[in-house]
Amino acid sequence: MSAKGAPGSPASAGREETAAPIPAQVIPDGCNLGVVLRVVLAVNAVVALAVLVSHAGWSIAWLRFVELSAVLEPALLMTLLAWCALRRFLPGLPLAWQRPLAWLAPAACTAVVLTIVGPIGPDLSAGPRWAALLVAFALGAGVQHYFELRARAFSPAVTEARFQALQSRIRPHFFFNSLNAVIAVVRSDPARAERMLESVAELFRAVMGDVRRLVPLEQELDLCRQYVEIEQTRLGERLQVEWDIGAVHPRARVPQLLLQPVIENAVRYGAERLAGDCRIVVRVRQLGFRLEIFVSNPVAKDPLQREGNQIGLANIRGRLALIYDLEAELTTRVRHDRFELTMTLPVEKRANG
Amino acid sequence: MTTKILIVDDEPPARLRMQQLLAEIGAQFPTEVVAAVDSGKAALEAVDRDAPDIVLLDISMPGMNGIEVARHLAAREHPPAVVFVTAHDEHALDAFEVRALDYLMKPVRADRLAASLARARRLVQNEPRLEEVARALGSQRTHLTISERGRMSLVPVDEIVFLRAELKYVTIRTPQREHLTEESLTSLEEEFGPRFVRIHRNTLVARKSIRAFERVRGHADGDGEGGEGHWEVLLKELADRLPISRRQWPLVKQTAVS
Repeated sequence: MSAKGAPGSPASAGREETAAPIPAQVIPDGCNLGVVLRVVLAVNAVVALAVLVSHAGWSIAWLRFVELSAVLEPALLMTLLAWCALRRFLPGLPLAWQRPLAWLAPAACTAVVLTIVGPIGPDLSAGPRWAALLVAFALGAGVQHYFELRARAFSPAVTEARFQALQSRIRPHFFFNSLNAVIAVVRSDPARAERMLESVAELFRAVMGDVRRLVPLEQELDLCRQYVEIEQTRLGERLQVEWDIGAVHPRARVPQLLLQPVIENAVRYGAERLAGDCRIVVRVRQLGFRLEIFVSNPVAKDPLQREGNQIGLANIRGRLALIYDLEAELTTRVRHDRFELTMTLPVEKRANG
Repeated sequence: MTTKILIVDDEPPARLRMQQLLAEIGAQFPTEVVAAVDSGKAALEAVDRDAPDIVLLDISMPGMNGIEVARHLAAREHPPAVVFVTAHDEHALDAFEVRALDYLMKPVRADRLAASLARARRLVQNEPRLEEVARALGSQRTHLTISERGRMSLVPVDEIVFLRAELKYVTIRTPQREHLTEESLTSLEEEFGPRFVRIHRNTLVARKSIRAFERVRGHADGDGEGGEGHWEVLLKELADRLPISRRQWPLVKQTAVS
């Protein structure tokens, strides 16, 4: 494949299942947690600063800000909802229409809020009503422009390159040991050797595929089970994996090779480094609209020997950040000499998120 | 004459494969597998029990890895020849190439195995090169080899409370007893680095065994440190009190804080 990763390279074909789309929509996604957080924090910060420079003294400025919040927060939330709705219901709108719509939405929402809370709302004597609408319009345009630039920064070519860098690899140590194990059983247990080679082939197919591809959770779990079977042939009975898979929405999707490298990490630090039995626990739960994936493995008692456990996870963190932004989370800790990893991500990733 | 072989690998299929290969080359290179074991410790016991001529030694094993096993073997009076076997370990292989140690890559081919065995019978991996490899890889032993009344035994590094240089030997103190070794305090400090703190010209203390520091008032008949008094280390496992030299105290204090 070309090293430049130019748009139009083979990888950009058949994109409907991947998570980094060409920005065809420039209205900020008001339903995306990352967008919501950024907008709410940024707009509040700007308004707070504006109030601070135009009023003498902290306490007066604070009171004024609280007063303004009565209009600001409802308008802000309404704007986000409006953006979300515009994106969902008018996806095919030309870009030339999307931008002005996005800019006008905040002003319109502010006007509605002012009409409703006007009589009991804050005294906007600092300026006439149209000034507040102008501010809303300016902030809306600014926010929309920021997210459009951001989407371009993550344009296919750039994202492609970042994903290329995060592409999974088969660890040579695992690969050669597996081949050796297959060769060892070829004569005594040909059926098993066949199964192992098939599993190795499946793993290769996944590893060579696009890491942005979202696959049904069940498919990723199957791949993990095949991987574990190879490892069990190799390491023998001292490797045990406890699968605890709860009821999950049948349409739940995860990035391909999200879970397998985590389990590989667990085998590497739990079974390859430590003598004795190694029990790995894999637990998958659906909590509301979120998927929680938990993996734990034993680690060395000595903290000096634990280092390195995190290295393989940097890649997964990077991919989660690129695909889900703030909507996915990966945390780790060591408890009772076990390394515990918890990932939470949305059950279903919309293709245009 | 048949050559006695010991196979060491933590993965069962890998041990099986090696036995198949040895059977295959049996006609041109007759061998007898005296044992096939799954860990470094079991390997050392098997060497003492079965006296193999050649050890086929996997490098990456949990606990005691192949390089450490070879170092313990090299300390023996009549060490067996060692051929390392590995699936893939770039760093180790570079270090081996440079120092011309023999190794095989998994999956192993029958003709390569035969060639390695033929070579191994002629020469024994020598200790200085092995030590160099270990240093290049920053590989730490998990045990120290101790020779007592002609017998070899292993002391887990985890259990060492302190190490003290005496006239000719270094005393290794564990909660249970004392051992002597001919290794130097400096080389031990270099290998195990952050695990121990040097509190005195002649003493290294395991970080995890330090319970507290206590100031001791100087005596009139002081031991040279007298006058203002000095600090001592109190241990978790033992009642011994170890003096901290005035020169080391600032360093010890610093590491204790961090």
